[in-house]
Amino acid sequence: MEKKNISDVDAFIEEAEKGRNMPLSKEDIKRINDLSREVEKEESEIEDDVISIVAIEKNDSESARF
Amino acid sequence: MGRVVRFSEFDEYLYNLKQNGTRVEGTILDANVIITLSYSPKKFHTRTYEFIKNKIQKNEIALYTTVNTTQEYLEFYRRLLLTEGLRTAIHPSSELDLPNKKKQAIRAQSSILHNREMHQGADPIFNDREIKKIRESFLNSGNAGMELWKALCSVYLRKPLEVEYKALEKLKITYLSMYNDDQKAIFDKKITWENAISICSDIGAGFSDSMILNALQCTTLPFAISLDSDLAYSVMSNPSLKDVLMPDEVVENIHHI
Repeated sequence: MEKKNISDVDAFIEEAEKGRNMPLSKEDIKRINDLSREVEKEESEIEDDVISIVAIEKNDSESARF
Repeated sequence: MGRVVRFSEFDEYLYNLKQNGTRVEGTILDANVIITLSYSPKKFHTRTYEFIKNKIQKNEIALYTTVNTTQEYLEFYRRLLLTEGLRTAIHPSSELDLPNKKKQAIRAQSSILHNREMHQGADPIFNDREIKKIRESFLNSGNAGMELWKALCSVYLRKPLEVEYKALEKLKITYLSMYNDDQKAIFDKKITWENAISICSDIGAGFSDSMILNALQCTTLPFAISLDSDLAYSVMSNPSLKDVLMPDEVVENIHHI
């Protein structure tokens, strides 16, 4: 029989709580906000592209009528 | 014949086991016991904590479990940590400034979850489908979206999950293994999938529960501890299985006891 391992329930709960309460570092916040801005930028560029494509198509179809 | 034993009956139960010459070296814990112990908002947290501390720890009964338990525990924390992290990220007080569309995606899933919490008493934890939907909205933004999602997972999961995993060490749980020489003395039968299938087939119990009962049958350990009615119904339906201990309220909600 192996040596008995007796648990420490209080220590377990205390340690498990720590995992849920880890603050974000300044670097993490900056990195995520930088990446967020990059996503916003890409999304607005895609939206601009879509708007110009729609505008070109609209112009094309209008010119075709004349 | 196995019994479903209430936590409140434990002193008498233990006394009788010892009177009958049964060695109580240890017990097998279901994953839900470990999760409930670690997360205080869980129903039965206090009762489970008091029972494990005052009855199991005090009587120097060692804790055993199956390898599935760590997977279930970490899976619970994956969803909990992501839920808490993402909900905090979109809170007005957050220092993070996520793109509006991503905030909307998180908010949409969060309100579905909120509804479940209010009307079904569910835990405040996204299910896997909700997490997938949020992730999809990030991945829809190409490489930049993927990098942002990865950064969020890194801060909300990588270190915190390691901490949760390390916390398990404090419980000093031993994983049952027939191949561990140190555990030879507690095994008196070989664990087989066929026996787990047979236990599952009694009442259609989940496989992690069937595995616990199967492992218990193959050892000299006299009982398992769980919060899941599947284990109770399995024990009640099959007289050859061993005992399972549960909080009184769980037992009282089980039919025909």
